[in-house]
Amino acid sequence: MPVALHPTGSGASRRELIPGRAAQMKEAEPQEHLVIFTLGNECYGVDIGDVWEINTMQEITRVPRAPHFIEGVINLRGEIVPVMDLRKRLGLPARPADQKSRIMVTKTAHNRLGLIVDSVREVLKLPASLIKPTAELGTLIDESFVWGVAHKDEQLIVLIDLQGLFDADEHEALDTMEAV
Amino acid sequence: MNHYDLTSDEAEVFFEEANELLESLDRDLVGLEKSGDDATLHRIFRAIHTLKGAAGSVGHDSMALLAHAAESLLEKVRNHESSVSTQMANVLFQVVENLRIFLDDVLADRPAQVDVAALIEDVSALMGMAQNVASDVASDSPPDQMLSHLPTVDDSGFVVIEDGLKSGLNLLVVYAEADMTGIAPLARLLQMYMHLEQVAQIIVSSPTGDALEQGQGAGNLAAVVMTDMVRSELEAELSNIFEIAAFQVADLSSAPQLLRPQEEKSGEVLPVAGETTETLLDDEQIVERPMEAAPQRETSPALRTVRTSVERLDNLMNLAGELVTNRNRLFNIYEELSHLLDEEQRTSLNDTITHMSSVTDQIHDEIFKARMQPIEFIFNKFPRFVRQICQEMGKDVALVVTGQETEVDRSVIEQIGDPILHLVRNGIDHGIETVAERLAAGKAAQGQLSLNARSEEGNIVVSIADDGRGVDAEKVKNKAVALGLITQEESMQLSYHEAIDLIFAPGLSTATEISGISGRGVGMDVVRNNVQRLSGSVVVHSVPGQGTSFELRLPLTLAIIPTLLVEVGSQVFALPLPNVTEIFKLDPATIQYVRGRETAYIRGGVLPLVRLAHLFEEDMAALDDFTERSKKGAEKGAGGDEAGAYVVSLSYRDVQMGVIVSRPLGKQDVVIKALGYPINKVQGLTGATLLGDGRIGLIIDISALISMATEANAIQSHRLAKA
Repeated sequence: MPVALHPTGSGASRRELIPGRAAQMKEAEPQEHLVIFTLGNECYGVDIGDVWEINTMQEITRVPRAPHFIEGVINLRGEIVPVMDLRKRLGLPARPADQKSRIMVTKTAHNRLGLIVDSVREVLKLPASLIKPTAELGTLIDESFVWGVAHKDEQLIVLIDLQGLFDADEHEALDTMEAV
Repeated sequence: MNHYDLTSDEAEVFFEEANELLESLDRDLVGLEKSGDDATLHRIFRAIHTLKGAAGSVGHDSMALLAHAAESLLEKVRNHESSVSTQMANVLFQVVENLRIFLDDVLADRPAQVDVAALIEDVSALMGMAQNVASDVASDSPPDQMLSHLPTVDDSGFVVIEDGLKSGLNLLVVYAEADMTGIAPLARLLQMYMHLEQVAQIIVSSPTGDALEQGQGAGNLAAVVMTDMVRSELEAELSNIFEIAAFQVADLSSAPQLLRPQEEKSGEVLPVAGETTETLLDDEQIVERPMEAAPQRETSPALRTVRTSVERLDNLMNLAGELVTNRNRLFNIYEELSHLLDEEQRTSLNDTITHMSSVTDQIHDEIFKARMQPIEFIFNKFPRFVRQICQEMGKDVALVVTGQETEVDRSVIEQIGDPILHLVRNGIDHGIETVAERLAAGKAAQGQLSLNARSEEGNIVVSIADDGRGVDAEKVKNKAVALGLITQEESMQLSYHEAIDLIFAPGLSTATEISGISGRGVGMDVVRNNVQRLSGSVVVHSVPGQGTSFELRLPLTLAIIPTLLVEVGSQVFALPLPNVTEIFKLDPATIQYVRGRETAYIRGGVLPLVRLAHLFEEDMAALDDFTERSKKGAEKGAGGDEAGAYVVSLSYRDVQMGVIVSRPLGKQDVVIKALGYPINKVQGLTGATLLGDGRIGLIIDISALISMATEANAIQSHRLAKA
């Protein structure tokens, strides 16, 4: 069963979260609300506002001539949603899906986009003070989409800027188009 | 939305309605100038009036004032106090143009962008009264004698007035004096009161209807009413009542504050609707009769239609698709269960499912039809456009529009307008000669531009033809050579038709200067590219000295297409049905290898074959693999694994091609859904669709498929040649 994070259908964008964050400032330290997932041994976090819902694996229809990191499209209750293999997109070695694999449905500027991840661990509120800039630590993936790292319970969490990742794809796509 | 009082769910319908009105105005104003019949005048008047109401309701004051001024002018024309001159038509066109800008203001939610005071003065000047709007409003003020009898309206009455004004009604005040020498003066007033009740909503009257019925009153009647009639209409309506010594009707739509009780008339802010609605409901005396019961005077077709958003229709279309899926499941369940049922139960269940099935199909059809609209929506703006271009370029062109009733899907309507506009512009600009040139060439002084639409084989065909000078092939060739598009030698080889087709080449036709009419003139190459992007085509025919015609061809819908569903392995593809010419079983023995390429030899013709599965593998490795296998196949003489496969023969323009598929699944109309970022630009696919069984079918873009096949073939033969 899909886990609906925004059952009302209004996925809060990053921008919409800001007033809430400002309100929190008065009372306590600002918090980052994150969805934590894994790729291999690494733990990653994305803004919960970017995540629409989390589904178990389902049949994916392959789309020929799509970028290599696109697995295909799924039928999400009548909506056609492209699915990206996040491992491939981030340059990690590919691996077949298993019981724990999840399709994390996110919101891009245009439509929904599913991301295949190894597992989804939890939804977490993290105090901003625990988040460090990336320069301090290395990670396996392309650091231009990493906006911070945090330690929690001995575990390193790499924070990914999904919208930045999508924008980069889009620019790349435009560049190729112009080249043609 | 901050500047205007319009919620987002109202907005769409509001803009659509306003746009339609503006378009009908464009068309009717041209008609008015030509013939000036009363029906046209009446439509124009209504449209302006409705726009005024709409402007008032969203709170765009300038727009309301401008519409009001135009309305007053038109009323003069209608009362034959003024006649339609070219000057008046020009001013009215300007009014419409500015109303359109104002509408954009509302759309963009920005304050009014243009100042129309000067234009309003022009309008007023035409009315023979060089006054500004303020005094125009004042002219609507009731005469003194009426003022002294003006009934006052309390807060709850004002709520009704405000609501009425917002929905475009007029606030009129009627004052009548009975002829006291007549037989039954008070009965006449009662008669007038009852008549008013039928055509308007009476907010307040003095004396009240009850009092009149009981024979009370001093021989006069003053009533404040809301109605969709304008002043003169109500006046005419009431003028049939006998033995009324004097009566007047005044329009207070722009000055409702005059109806305030005397002490608070100045600078009073109208009560906000909602604050007082509760008291309104109890106050039966004020709301004499509910609005719903007011007799409908308008019998325009608009009353028989309901507006809805395209999104809603799309949703309905999807839901109908799901119904189809479930219908198919029901049939399966029935098959499985039937052995458990007795004869009677079986018949009953079967009948029910069959009936449901046919209803499902009908729902599907109806929704599809609901999305269709006549192309008139686009054609309507052309009379004004042509008139304007002609004025600017000093040409005389008659526009002949035919086939405007041809229906196409919404999605096409949205896309087809610009290409047509450019071709029309081009026809007048480059095609039709000046009057002097035409006369010298022995042609009629007035040029003719015809715009025709018809549907043909699942396409809409729009032709734009002029009777002008035709395309000068030599000029086109020279320019193409000058631009380096072709060589001098090549240009010698070209037929007339090939030469004039060069006008679609990039850079060749961009000479059009920037003009105030349609902005920057774009080249024909842009027109052709945009049309091809929508799986359409545009071709040119021309006869020197006799004229040029463009033929624009687009699918009837860009949202739903009839397809042939085929399976390739476990994957389902949808091939646009208009391109499918034939399906036959692949007989491996008939496969020939022509320069390494598979071809089928059928009925004396050669059909190049491609395998969807291979074609979509873009990288060279896959292509090599393809080549290897082809060679192997060639060695074997027949691909044994292909037994049971089918060939779907496709045609696109002049190209014929066969696609090898595992098996055809059947015909189906599918709803095209975008693949979505980041795969919306994938070459060879138009989109995807949901199938009855929940699977996803990919819709093939035939033109792209063919060019991919040609490319692949070129690369492949190149490789084979090297090998």
